[in-house]
Amino acid sequence: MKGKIIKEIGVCALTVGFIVILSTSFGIIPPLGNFLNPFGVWTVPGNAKYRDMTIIDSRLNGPVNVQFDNYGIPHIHAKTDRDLFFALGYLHAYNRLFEMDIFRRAASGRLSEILGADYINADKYFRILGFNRHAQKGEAYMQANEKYFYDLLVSYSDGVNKFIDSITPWTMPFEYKLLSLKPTRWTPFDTIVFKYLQAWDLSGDLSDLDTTLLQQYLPAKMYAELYPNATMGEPFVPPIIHEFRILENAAPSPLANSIRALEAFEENRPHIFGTPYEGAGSNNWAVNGSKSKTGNPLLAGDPHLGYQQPSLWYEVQMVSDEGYNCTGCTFPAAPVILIGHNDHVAWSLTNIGGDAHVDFYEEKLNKIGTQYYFNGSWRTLNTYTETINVKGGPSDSIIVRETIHGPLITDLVANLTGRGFANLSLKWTSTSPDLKVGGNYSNEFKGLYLMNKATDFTSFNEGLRWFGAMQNVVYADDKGNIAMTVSGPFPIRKQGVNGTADGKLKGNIVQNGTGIGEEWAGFIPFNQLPREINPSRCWVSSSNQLSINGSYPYYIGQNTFDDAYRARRIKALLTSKNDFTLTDFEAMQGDNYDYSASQFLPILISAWNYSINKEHKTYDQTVKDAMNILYGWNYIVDKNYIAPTIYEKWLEKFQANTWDEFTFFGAGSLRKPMITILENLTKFDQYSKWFDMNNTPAIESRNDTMLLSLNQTVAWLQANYGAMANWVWGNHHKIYVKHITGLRALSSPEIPLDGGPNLINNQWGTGGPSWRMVVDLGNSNSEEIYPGGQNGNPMSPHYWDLFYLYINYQYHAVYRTTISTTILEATWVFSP
Amino acid sequence: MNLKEFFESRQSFLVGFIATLVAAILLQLLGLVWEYAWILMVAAGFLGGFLIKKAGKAFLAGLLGVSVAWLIYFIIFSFLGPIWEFSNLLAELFGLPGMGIVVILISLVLIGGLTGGLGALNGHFIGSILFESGKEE
Repeated sequence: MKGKIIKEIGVCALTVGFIVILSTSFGIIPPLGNFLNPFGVWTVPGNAKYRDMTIIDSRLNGPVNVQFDNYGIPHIHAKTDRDLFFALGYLHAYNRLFEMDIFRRAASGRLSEILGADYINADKYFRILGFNRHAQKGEAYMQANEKYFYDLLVSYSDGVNKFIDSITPWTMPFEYKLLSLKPTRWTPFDTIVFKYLQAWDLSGDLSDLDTTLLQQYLPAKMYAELYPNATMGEPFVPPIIHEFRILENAAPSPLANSIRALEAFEENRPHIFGTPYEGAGSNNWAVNGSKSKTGNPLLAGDPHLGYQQPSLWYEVQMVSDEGYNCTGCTFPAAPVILIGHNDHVAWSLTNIGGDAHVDFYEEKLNKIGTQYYFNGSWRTLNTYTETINVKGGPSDSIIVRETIHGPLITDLVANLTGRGFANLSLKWTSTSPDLKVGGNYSNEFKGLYLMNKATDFTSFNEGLRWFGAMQNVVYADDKGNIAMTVSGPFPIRKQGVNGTADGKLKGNIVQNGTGIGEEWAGFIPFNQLPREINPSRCWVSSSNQLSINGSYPYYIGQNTFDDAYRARRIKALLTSKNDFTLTDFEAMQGDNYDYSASQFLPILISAWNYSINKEHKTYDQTVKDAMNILYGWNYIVDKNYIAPTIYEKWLEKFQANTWDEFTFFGAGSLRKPMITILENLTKFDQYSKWFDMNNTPAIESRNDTMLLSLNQTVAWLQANYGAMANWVWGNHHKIYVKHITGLRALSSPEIPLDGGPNLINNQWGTGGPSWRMVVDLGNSNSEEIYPGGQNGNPMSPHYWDLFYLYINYQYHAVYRTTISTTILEATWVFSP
Repeated sequence: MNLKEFFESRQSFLVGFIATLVAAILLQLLGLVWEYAWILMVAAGFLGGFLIKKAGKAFLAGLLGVSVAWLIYFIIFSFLGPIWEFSNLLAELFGLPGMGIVVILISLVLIGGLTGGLGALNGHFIGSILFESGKEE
């Protein structure tokens, strides 16, 4: 008996221990009992398909009908806009709840709560920027002053929560099971705070920091020549470059130390939308009826962003009896269409460039860091203590200090105290109290709502004026109009577009914060923003190049990332014919012609020929073979070609060798002059001293450096890729869409892909054209695509279906009327 | 037959197995609304083990009873969605690419089966303590 009792105690203890182990998560491993039982993760495939269903909710004003087409794209028909938003909230949550959760947590600095200590720096970053504090004010403002729009957000939140409240272990989304989490309810605050995150992703440009360093290190004239205020776009105007000086080591200043530390922090912190890439950009263009086969205006748009799975985009058609009938892409977390069209108007966006919305100020603090000096007096810093809860670890906190300009961003780096460092504050239009457009807050939602329902250019602009992000907005309508406009509240800097009398721009460098620096003097009036309507050339386009010419009076940023090759190629294509179709526009969006190669390679070939025929120089056979390949290249960046691999590496080497002076003063990480500057130098000044390489005794000319770069390129490719047969572009240029958790099993395979940097098809592997849309305004005919799928459930047929269309240059038709039964996948009815 | 007589007459592995199977199917249904319902597999195994006189057989009945119950659910779920493909995705997540069957076996045997088997051992020993005083197996 005693033995049995002892055995039972042992078995009982073993059982309890076993259960405890299976109920506990270990690091990233979920509780295996909860996870692997039949009603754990195994219910996920059962939720993969849309099935007909009815959702009852007494808050609805009438029935809402949702039809899913064969790509899982919902077509929502509601009586009222509130019901429409309720249904969209439910759909967003049903398909993308985890993604929405990550967005709101990232924006409010609460990722560490669920993802652990690895995300503390991301949370500190956004807590200092203060999106959570500003969103609270924004919500209060909307409640008091924008009740109609606030109620729409409430309705959207009700829809999200309708799904959240209905979640059972059977319907719990996969990611929550995987991470052993429970979703919490959605509020209008979450949508508002997300707005800041997205706006920051588009306009949170930190180029003032390295521009400041450049101006510290480079003589003024040299800086002005190598970094002109305006990027060269169309027309291509080559600047004159004659200034050259060997740069020497400079003693690091406190300001430089702070900038370096901040840039290092920024580079290493976790990025929710992926690390920005220098080649990123977007395209949009439109032609009027005189250049289209149908006689109607045609419009195309493809914003280039980092890829992620689930996608940033959720596609939808929204229809209500209150005048809504819009198709396009939404952000899961926000209930309006960002890029799309209705029966009357279509629009798409590109980023306007760098430095338009963010300024930095070097603040003078008292010794104990509680006051700052401004306009002749000491003022007390506003302080906020932000506590960051951390999953599986002790909570952390950060004290945010704020001047009249904004938060002290240098507080991000804890050791920036003492004489060796400067205190920098960050001022951003979206969080600046200066911004009075509609009362500071949440205007994008109102703006997009009005744009979604616009019927002509006037009503479209009534919406656009509330849109807070700085964008080039291409527009076309069914009345035959096309336009390129610019949106966003641009602070007025006193120097104007061409700089002060001494030619200096002040908006693009760190300013003195004591009141003698460049303070904002209001905002550019909406009706004075750059705008071009129905130009005589019958087309408009933007690809992040300069939006203005020298006669524009205001400074609206200094483009620091776009080389304008896409703009030049688009112009060449748009002027090549007058009978464009949507199919032509789709071919243009997938255009792989490397315009920069068409400018550089003839010169390289000429240099090669001269070297062989006149100078009788000899080269390795592999170099000759590489040159032969370049010689026969048609400048198309095809995944099966070797030439793009050689050219891209050669251009990289040529840039590095030309600008090698930059590495001689520890400034290797500084932003190099843009490729168009190098193009200009290459074309017009072949004996420029910039071409001479400092680490050789000889004096190199353009040709010497070009050919030396070719030798280095071939050596590099042989060393890293092996035999030439392995240099095929697609072997090294692959699309990879990473899941938001970073888990490879949920991410796309790596697939060889055409396209590359500075092409219209601007593919850089982990990002590129994230959405493609072409629209014919006469018949509201359109086609769209994005590299992903509608449903976040990895077992859904709509998890990757659009992705596989996308990588084959395909689009799906957009259904604007009744969904035929052949493509109707399921119907949901929301009923009061 | 009183409870003690019933207990002392227990011999049938099949009865214990079927009892575990049925109990496991029914109790696991609570998983629709309660994520910890799998712990009730201890109770399902306990019931089966309680009915079996030999510890080894009891453990086996509990293990197989719950495993088969879960397998039945897996088969039903496979009609609702691509569960076998999903097992391969999970295998990849666990660093076992192409070995979805291993993940399914882990679910059925290591999680469900062992939970049921341990429950059955508990049932067996409790039954023995209550009704087989003085007799060791």
